[in-house]
This record gives sequence, structure tokens and C-alpha cells, in this order.
Amino acid sequence: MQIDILHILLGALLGSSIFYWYETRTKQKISSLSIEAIIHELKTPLTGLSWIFSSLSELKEGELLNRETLVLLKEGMVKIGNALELTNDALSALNTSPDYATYKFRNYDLVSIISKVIDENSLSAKEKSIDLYYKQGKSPVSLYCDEIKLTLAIRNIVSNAIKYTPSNGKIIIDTKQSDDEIVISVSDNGIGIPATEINKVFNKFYRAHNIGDISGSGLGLFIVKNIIAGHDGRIEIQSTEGRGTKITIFLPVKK
Amino acid sequence: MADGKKVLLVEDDKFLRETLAKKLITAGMTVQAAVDGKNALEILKTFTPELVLLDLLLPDIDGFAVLTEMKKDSKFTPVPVIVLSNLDKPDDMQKAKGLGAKDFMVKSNFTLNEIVNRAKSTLGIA
Repeated sequence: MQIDILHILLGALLGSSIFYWYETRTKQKISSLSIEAIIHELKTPLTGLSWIFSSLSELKEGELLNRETLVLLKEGMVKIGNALELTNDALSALNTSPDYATYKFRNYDLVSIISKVIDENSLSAKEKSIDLYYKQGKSPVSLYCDEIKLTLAIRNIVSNAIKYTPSNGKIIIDTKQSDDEIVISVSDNGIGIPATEINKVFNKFYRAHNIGDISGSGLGLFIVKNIIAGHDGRIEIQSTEGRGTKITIFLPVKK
Repeated sequence: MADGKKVLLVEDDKFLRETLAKKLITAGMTVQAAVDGKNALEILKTFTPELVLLDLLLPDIDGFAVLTEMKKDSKFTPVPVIVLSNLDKPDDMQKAKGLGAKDFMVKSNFTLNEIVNRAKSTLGIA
């Protein structure tokens, strides 16, 4: 990060050509690295699909539908879902990279963003009998943001909370505002993150060891990190394995 | 049949690991499956395989490090290692071979039967 700032300062001091060079170089570096990583990750569900279809195609006529092949077909559907989720999240990761994507800022009401995210997630919370609660203040909270990207960030945090909170759990969303900062927090009493892994959860494709069979692309929090960086904000994460996680976003008030 | 030949399979993806392990067991092999590099090194303390099928990109301790550790122990020097990875760059292949891997298979390019057959021929039971 310090090197990045140094480059920007040098660029600003020495003229736009160096700054432009820096930008171009960074964009190429980020996009090529990410695309290679994405393609590699996509190979895992595709390998699964390839093995499933090769096993099915080796069967004799009339053998197709039995318990074993039904399991393979269902696994195939899961693998297709994994590949699609990864493709969608990978596109979001590329489209939110602060060095690569365009952010369109305007004043927007944070309360309506959170209400929208709660509406979208209410069904999946209800399916697990999870209490999804927003400590909403009375007045709207105006925020200078890219509302589409910020909605995606809050959506990822809330849907993660639902995913990693067992049935009958509780998720609380809270917002606070001071003169120079808007704070959004999402707390759950879910499975938590092992202490040794907490500093890795924002890395791309990282998935903690205690997630069991819960599927995911490993890009959700990476996308959140991108979006908050794109808003010049910061994130804090507090978690105790087996007890729950609290993710807090701090966004500067820009006037 | 493979007559209970002992195989260590190291693969972090649950579906790939379980599917291949099942196929190797059906072919008559005795299989120990490791979910990552650390787990593989733990298993190797008590289990001396006759063949290792090794993924490379693994959490924390990767397949290259497992190969390096294995080759430090003379007990494992004669044990053939087939790398089974979706990495397909010549550099990765060269590095794995340089660290002592006998064979390198890009897993998305092979069917389960082809992998089992390669395992069998490496064990001398094709």
C-alpha cells in the first residue's frame, strides 16, 4: 500500500505520463493475474463435470438410471452451480477492483440500500429460521457512494452471515453516523472464523477450514474489500470460532 | 486386481477426492486420502504408500512442499509420485519433476479410468 501511495505521489509530482503508466501497468497486472487465477479455479468444477460425464458415458445402454448414476447427475448439477457462481463472482471481482473498475458516486440513502438487501435475503433467512434484524434509525442516512457496488458489498456480507449461521441464529445489522464517518456493522452468532485464519478471509479464493460442506467461490469478501477500498473506506472483522462474527465497514462522509 | 496396493491420495476438493478414492478402492487398492499438504505429511508418519497421487495447489502446505519433504526421507525415495493437478504450465511440470515426481497428469484432461489405469501401470499391475 505504501508503495502504491509513493507511485501515485511520484506520478502527481512528475507529471501525468508516469501516473498513466502506473495506472496502465497496474490494470494489466491485476486483470491478467486475476483471469489466470479464475480460469484455474474454474477447472475444479469442470474437472468434476468431466469425470461425471466420462463415468456416465462408459455405462451400457439401459444402465443409465440407478441410484449411483442419480447421485452423479445430482453432483453434476452442484458442479454446474459452483462454476456459475464462480463465473458471476469473478466478474463482480473484476468489475469492482478499485484499480480497474469505474465507480459512479452520487448521494444515496443507506437505509434503502440495507432495506433492499434485507428484502432479498429474507427468504433464505426464513428457511433457516434466522432472525435478520436491522436496528434502523428514524431518518434516512445520506451517503456519497456507488449504490450498486455498495449494495453488492452489503449483500455479500449479509448472505455470508446467513450461510455461516446455523438454524435459529440471529443476525443484527446496525448503522451509526458521526460527522466524518458512517459505520455499518453486521453481527451474527454463526460458526465464526478460526483465529489463525481471520487475516486471510479477504484474500481471493480463500475459504476457512471450518466451513464443512458449505459451497462458495471464495470471492465474496474479496469483492467486499474491493468495494470498500473503492469508497476509501476500511473494514474490521471480529470473530470467535463457534460463537460468531462481526464485520464493520467504515465509510468516510464526503461532502 | 490391485491386491491392496497402498496409495496416498492428496486432493483438497472433496468431490474429486472422494470420487477418485472410491474408484481406486473399487480397483482393489488400499487408499488413504489427505485433504491438504499438512494432512498428507501427518499420514506419511504412519503410512508408507506404494504410490502417491498428489495435487499441487493445496491450502497452507502445497504439493511442491510435500514432494520436497518426502524426498528428504530415504524411506520415501523409491515411492513413485504422480502429480495430479490442474496446473499445466511447463515450469510447474519441470519443477515437480525436478523435485522427484515420476509423472505429471493434468487432471481435467483425463477420465477417472485413465487415472486409475496410470496408477495401476505405475504400480506394475496393469
